[in-house]
Amino acid sequence: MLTGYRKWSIIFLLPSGLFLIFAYVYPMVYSFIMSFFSYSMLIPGAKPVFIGIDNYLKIFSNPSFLNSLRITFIFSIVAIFFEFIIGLFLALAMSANLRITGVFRVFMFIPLMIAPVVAGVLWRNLFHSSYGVINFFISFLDIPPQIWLGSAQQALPAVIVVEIWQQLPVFTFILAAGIASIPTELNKAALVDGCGRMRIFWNITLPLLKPAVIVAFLLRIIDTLRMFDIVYTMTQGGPGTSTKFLSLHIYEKGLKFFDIGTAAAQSWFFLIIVLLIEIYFIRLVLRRGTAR
Amino acid sequence: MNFFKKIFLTIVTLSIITSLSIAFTGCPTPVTEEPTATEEPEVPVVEEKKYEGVELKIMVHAGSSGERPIYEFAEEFYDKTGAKISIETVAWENIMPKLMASIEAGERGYDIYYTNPEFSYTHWPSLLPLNPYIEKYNYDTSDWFEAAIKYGEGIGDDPNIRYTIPASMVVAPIFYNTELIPDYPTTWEGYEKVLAENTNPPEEYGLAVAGVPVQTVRQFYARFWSLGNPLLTPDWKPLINNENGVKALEMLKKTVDNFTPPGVLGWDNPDAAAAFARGLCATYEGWTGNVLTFLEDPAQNKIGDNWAVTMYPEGGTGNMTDNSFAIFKTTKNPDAAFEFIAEFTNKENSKRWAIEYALETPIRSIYDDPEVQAAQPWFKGYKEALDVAKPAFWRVPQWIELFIPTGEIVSKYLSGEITDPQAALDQLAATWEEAIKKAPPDFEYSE
Repeated sequence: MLTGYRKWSIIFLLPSGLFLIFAYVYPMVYSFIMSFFSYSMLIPGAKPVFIGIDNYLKIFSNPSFLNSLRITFIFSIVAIFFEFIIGLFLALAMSANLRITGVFRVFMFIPLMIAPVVAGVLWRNLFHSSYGVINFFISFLDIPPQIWLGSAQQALPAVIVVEIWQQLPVFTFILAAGIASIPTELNKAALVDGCGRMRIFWNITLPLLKPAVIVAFLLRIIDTLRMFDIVYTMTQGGPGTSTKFLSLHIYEKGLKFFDIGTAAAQSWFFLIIVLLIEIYFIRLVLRRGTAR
Repeated sequence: MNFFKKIFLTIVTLSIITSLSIAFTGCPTPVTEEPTATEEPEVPVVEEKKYEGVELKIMVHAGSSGERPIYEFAEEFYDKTGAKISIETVAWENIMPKLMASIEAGERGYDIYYTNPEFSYTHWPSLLPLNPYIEKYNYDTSDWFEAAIKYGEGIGDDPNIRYTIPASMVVAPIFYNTELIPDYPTTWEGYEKVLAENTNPPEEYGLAVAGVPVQTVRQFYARFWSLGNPLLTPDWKPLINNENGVKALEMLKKTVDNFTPPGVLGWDNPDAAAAFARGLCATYEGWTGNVLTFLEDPAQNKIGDNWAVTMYPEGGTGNMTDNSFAIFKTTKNPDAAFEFIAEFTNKENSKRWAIEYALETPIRSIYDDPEVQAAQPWFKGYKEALDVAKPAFWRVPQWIELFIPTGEIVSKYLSGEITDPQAALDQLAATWEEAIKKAPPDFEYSE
């Protein structure tokens, strides 16, 4: 028998629960089922044909998918690495409580507030090989004009730069909040004991910042691995396939070629990879919590 | 708990009160004054319009040359017939998902779409066969380009059925600066010579092209087709990876590497069109709509009227398409939909759109009309390009699976991601074979 509190809780939770079932659970279950079928919606009259795990097995022999997976991971690792380093530096600068910090925080927020599609179009023009502002600025450093998005070698770094520009505030603010939560007494005690600034940073700040770092990594890994809007507007995956991230590859399979079974299997495979990475980080957080 | 309970009870009570008050008082209705017996009401005589109350939802290919005339004509059609036209413009990349969603939505989806007929190769079972309406409304197709007639029929399983009515014929010709190139060459050798003569970096380049993967397809086909081969054998075996394919790919790479501004592989159509209109490049290989927008804009056009249009050298042509109307079977108003299309594309309006909006009509004689020629001098060269135009993968429902990888692999070779042209084309041929295998056509391949 449900108590009054439980009954009312269920009543209030029911609408959102039903919404979740229809909007999330049903599509996920449906796509999981479809991943075991061969079904091209482009072919008039085609019906789904059960093919077992063939779609999953084909993933490992699909060079296009594996290439996209490789590019996505390179993008994710490089972008997060730089976001972490620069974000940490900025977070430390913000924790110094200078007068300019308030203004700095506002400016830091601006890229984050811009829609990724708009950011993509904006940076596409900035990186333009003929009239882009970036080539104009680097000319002051005696660097010849670069072709950026027109080069298979430079397009990915250019997209990484935009990703760092837009998402850096996420790292910065999480780390700044982490730094703010470190008790100041520890730093003061270390100073009294004769520790230098670097020693304090390595032995006190950084270890105590670990939970915040893990959370930031957790969020950023999810975001970078599913990157779509910016790269779609900047390069459309090109030149060649040099910036064809996995999200673009799956989008093409599913929503251009309507090869539903293949796209579903690839999505699930990708989801499992992301989940494994995330579980690793979540366990790090939990371990940290229990250690306390 | 009490807090939640109070909120819940308040919401329930308010809902009951509102429902009861509506039930007893009825919905508020506008108060109208009844005319008294002594007053004779002045009733304006309003002629009932033919399609009063009808609403047609149209999906229009964004950026196509038909977009602006369709908006204009929608208002005229409403004034004339009472049928309200709701237009949704959709970028090419999103057309396939939009159409799929519309088909799923049935009656709630679009009534008409306006885009490339290739989409009808896939969606024909959901489209209305137009032959009965062509007969019923005595719609004239006799003056169309041969390509418009031939490639608009045979879609689906009945060779005599037509699902689309073209409003514009689309083929990418070559635009060139007549001040820099007074006599345009007719051979590839001459073409390269002209491009080389006009390449003087960083101020001048011979050619502007859009180099993002999907846009490279027509540039490659133009070279390949000029060498004389079809894309496939009659039994659907790829010929693209033969020696002519390799030659065509190398020709294209040589052109892009030597005569285009740096970075064109990151350029889309507007970038390339702007480079031509602003005088950076002497020629432009691309769609007409993009470049005309820049040429019509005095702020962007730095070459004045010193430009003309011609076909590719040696009979080459990029893949032809058109922008056609099609009607969904689920429409509740097929007659209104067909009348909209028929009126928009009749000879009188086609001439008007050609003059006002440079819409490349499928009606051949309009290109010879002195008024049209005066307004659009470039139509002369465009007509020549249309005479040799042909589509790729006509009637194949999985055409998009053949089209997109072509651009991707050509772009891979142009960008150096693959260095061996034979390897690139073998990869392309394998991709085509795999896509064709999904639903092998029961008719012979022809161009």
